[in-house]
Amino acid sequence: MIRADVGLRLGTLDLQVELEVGDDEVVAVLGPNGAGKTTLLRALAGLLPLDRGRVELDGRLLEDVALGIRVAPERRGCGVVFQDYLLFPHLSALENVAFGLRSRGADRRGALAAAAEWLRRFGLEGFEESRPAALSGGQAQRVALARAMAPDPKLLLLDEPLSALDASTRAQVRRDLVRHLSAFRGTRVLVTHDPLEAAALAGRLLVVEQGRLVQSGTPAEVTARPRSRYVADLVGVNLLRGHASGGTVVLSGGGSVAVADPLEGEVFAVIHPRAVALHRRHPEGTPRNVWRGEAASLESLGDRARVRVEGPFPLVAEVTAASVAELKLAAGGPVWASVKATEVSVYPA
Amino acid sequence: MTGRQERPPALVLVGAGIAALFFLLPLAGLLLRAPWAEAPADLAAPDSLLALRLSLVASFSATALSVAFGVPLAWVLARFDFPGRNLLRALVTLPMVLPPVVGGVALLLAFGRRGLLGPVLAAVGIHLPFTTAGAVLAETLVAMPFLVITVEAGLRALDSRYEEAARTLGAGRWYLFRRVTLPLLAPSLFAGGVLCWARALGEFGATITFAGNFPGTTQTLPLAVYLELETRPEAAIMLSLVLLAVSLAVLVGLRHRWLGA
Amino acid sequence: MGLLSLLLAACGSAPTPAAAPDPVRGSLTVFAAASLTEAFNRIGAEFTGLHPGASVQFNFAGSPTLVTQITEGAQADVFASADQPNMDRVTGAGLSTGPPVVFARNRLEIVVEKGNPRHITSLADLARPGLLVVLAGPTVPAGKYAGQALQSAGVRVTPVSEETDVKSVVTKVALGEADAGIVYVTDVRAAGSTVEGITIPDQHNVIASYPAVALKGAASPVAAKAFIDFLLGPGRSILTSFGFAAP
Repeated sequence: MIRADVGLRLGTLDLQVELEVGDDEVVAVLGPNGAGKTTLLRALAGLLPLDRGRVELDGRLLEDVALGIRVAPERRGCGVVFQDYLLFPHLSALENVAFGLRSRGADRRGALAAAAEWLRRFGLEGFEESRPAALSGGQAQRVALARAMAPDPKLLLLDEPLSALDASTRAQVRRDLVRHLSAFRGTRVLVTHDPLEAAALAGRLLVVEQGRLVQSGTPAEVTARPRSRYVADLVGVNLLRGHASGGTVVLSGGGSVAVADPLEGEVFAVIHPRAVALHRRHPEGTPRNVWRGEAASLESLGDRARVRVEGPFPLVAEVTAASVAELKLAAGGPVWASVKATEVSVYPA
Repeated sequence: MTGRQERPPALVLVGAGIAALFFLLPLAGLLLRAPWAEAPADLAAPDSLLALRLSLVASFSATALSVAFGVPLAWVLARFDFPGRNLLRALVTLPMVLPPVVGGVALLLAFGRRGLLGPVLAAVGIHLPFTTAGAVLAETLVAMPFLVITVEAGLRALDSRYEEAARTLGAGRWYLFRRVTLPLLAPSLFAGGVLCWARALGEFGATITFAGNFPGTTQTLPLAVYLELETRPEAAIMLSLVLLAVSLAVLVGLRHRWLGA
Repeated sequence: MGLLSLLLAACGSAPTPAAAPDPVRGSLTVFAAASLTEAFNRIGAEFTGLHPGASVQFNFAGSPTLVTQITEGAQADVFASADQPNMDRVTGAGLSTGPPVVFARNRLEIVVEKGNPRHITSLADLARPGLLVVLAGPTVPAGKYAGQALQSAGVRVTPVSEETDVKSVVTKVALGEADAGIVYVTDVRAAGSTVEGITIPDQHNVIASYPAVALKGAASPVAAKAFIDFLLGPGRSILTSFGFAAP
């Protein structure tokens, strides 16, 4: 179990994140590039000193700026799998895996035997004497994982574990990784920018943007109720924010949305693009939400299309290809967008 | 490298050819003028053997000193930022630029009897000019910069992330240096060491100025050649060829280790 | 009548001949033993003063070094050696024009640091244990002579260094690195106040003879001969002023 309150400045990044991860969890830190995910991971491993805060692992204080305590990385018991594996080029796969054991004083014979067992467990029998340069991406990743796990660390940190692999290997390696991670008896935190990877590997997501934690929850919770533009874009929904009162949400950026939910206070409002209907003339009928805007861009998705509408606030509508033709949306021009109040999902901000 | 290769442009070939000749002609001159008949007598002369042995002892000692002190210096220059770092690096390269005799004079002014450290050394019973130790010191001064520069470049080229990875695997600083940094640094270290050794072996100006010239103590092979040239040029040629042969043997023998850097 | 006609003839119609151009001109390269450095520099200045069309370049080094350079083809006009054997190597190789002439002599002296801190008074003192003595190498004339002087006095000295020329011996003593050395009286004089000289008695001392010769393949043979003549002529007083003895 790791409890950390990480505060540090690195270049233009100002990172301030609090997190708590239990032994039984695999947590993924998800965010765009430059969000501070890798910085956070390096700080937990002890490779970057904190400016403010503390890190506690299994009840043991690893770092506390106020108290002036800082445990060096080699004594933290954190295993790290780096983005480009960083296998020692001058050592064989076996020696790489044995490194963490021998550095702590294990005798050569015992360490190599244990390492051989790890390689066998990862399906790498026969590759003991191979140099890292001779291994494929998937094999190198497994060696890196075995190397990090062999010394039995209390915390396992993985930095974009699949990003160095090509698409075809990635799926298979992801499946293996799920298996290996579940067999590990310690805290597991991985960092990724790929939501698919996050959802597949982790039970809980921590969304970090611009150095701040913006959302925490299971993949389902996060995708159902995004709390940031980043996640909304990943999921592919329209995200609005405003103040709800008496069935109307007044948006922070201007405009308002009628909702069916009686919720009061600061809220997020999510509108799925499919719920947005487009018209060339002001629609008649029941929708209480109608906005006028310009059809700005069109993205074809086979038999459907996504249309970006610039109006009181940006909105993405998903319509059929037939509608595109019928409304001549390719030409752009003024459109009316409508959404039923019942189609707007609202939750507290 | 067999098989079809693209031939370099003519101009490049001409330039390379001239450069090659530049190095081959002096060697050819030596080989042709060498008095092969008297070679055994010349080489077996006690002073010659003495000079060869002294040269080997001194050059290897100078290399050992250069490694022992040059590697930490290279480390500090490569990894540690401090005010005056650029100045220190410039000072270290100075012996490569200055004429060796100037180096010898500087050594006298620093370590000579009347030098800055003269009284201090004398108090401890150390006297450097006119001694073999003095010759080693002179060779170290001119040769160490080669090692420092090469190793510093090697350290910079080394991916420090390997060291981070090693630390997360529990390696303390010394273990890390021994098992990760040093092996990865080995090619540069070797290249630097060979360059350093070669430079030390050929050193003349600083040695004769600081350590003087006496057979057995300070008369290294280059000095012996210079002196023989005045009385028996043939003997000088033979000694030169010996120096050449020894150097070639080491450089060619170790080419895989140091050219790979 | 006769005198008057002579005078008339002299001031009369006979045209005065135009001043002939100075045949002593061109650039002159002189290879000279190191011990001649200061004296020859002055001689060179006087010589070019006398012959404005000539310029003199000097190459000072130990005599054996100069001989090697000459026998290996270095371009020079005049060679001035500090002893006969080195000169013989040049004449023996057929590289000289005309016989060498001795233009100066020199004697040896013990050189010590100013103030003579080690209280050296004779050659015998040089054998004192712990004393750092520097000599010129055995193939350098000064070194050879020093060996002869020591042998004559029955003194065995192991130098800490054998320098390649006599000036280096002076330098080491002047710097304080060596306690004493054996050099020429002229060297002690030229070194000025940084050193002192201790006389070596005549019965042990060696008289060094300096021969000079013009070289074959000289660029300016006329100037070369003129230089040597100068050494024997006006140059003598310059040499004496630097401490050399007459030839």
